[in-house]
Amino acid sequence: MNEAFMLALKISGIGLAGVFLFMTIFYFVIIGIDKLFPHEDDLKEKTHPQLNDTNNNNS
Amino acid sequence: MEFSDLMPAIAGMTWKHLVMIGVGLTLIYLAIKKNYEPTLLLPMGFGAILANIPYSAVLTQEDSVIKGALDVFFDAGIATEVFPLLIFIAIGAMIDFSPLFQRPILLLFGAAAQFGIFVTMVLATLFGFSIFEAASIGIIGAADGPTSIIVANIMAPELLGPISVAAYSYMALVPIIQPPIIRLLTSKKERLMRMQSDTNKKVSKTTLVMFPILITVLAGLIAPSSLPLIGFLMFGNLIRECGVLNSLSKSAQNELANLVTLLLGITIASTMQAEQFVRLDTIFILGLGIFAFVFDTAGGVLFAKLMNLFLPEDKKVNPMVGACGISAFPMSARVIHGMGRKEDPPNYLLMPAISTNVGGQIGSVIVGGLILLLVPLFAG
Repeated sequence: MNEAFMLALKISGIGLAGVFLFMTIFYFVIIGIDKLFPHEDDLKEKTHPQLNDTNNNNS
Repeated sequence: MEFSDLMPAIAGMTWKHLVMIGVGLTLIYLAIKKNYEPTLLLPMGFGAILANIPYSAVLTQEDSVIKGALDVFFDAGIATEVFPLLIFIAIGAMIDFSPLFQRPILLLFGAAAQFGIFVTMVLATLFGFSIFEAASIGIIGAADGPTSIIVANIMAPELLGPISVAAYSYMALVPIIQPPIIRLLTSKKERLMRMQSDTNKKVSKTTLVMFPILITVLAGLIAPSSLPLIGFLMFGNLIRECGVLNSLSKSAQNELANLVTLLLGITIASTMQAEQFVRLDTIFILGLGIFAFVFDTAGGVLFAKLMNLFLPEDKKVNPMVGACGISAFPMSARVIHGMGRKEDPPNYLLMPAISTNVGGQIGSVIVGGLILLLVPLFAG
């Protein structure tokens, strides 16, 4: 096996691990900011669940 | 006076020039008749004809003091990376990242479906390509034209022509390349799987504004070399999501995208000159490009099957969706949705497929940045 092949194998291993690392970090970023800055509707539902229940009962 | 003085173009025409004019005509045919990426293949095809008429004044000639127009565009837009980066702003302005928030785990397919890039890189070294050339060839599998151009321009500028042609042609061939690979790797039962998605989930404006900023900062801190790629993509997205630059966002999505695509296509053609293009290497590059695409698709599908071993029943992923982890957006998502409906008409896979495809766009840009970081680091 030539030198370039061994180098390519090494870079591929690190590169693939690197992409997964990035994506895992981005996954936690998405989870985090979605929790920190929820949509107004979700926030209302959490702080006033009875409002939502009432709406559901009425419908 | 000799004939070559009177008609230098006709006298200087070789079989290689004729082959390249044939390639140009084929690209124009594919663009018009088959509707394969016409915005790029048509300018590239016409540019290939322009660049392969001997003594063409669109290229700088040895005895001329005036620079050829295509060379001027190349020096200004490709050598400096400006054209592909402007395209990233336009793409960023077109992408809605909110589907990712419905099921963020699908982001991981954007990593798994880059598998083919690395496999191809290793394989290319066995065909005698240097590590820089091999990395540039592998990136064809990202199905991301601008990333392919940037990586090839930095690492193997002599291969820019065939790599660009392969990247854009294969992006258009997603509906032909992906389905047979997916059918080969999945059972009927797997293809019939339905996925639960929270289509009612709403994402706050603050979240959508914070996302491109945070991703840029994090990507920059970990791999600064990825910043031109991810940074311009996210800048375009910030313009879209901020809510105060609607006019700029629309301009980026329409006028900017159209103008730069036009110039990018015809400028790339300046690298398709007969002497550089009609070589055995070009055939290897086109073949390896297909290989990268096939293994990217396989990587996504097989990763979905692996994940399903650990996911609870109601969270399992239809393995076909894994194939959307490539960057060809939204074509790949549409293909998978279509395949799902063909197997089971009420099975709507569009939302998870779109989420995965958006992840693929981020993944391809990250891989581009990592290759730009790792290859020079290890190869010296």
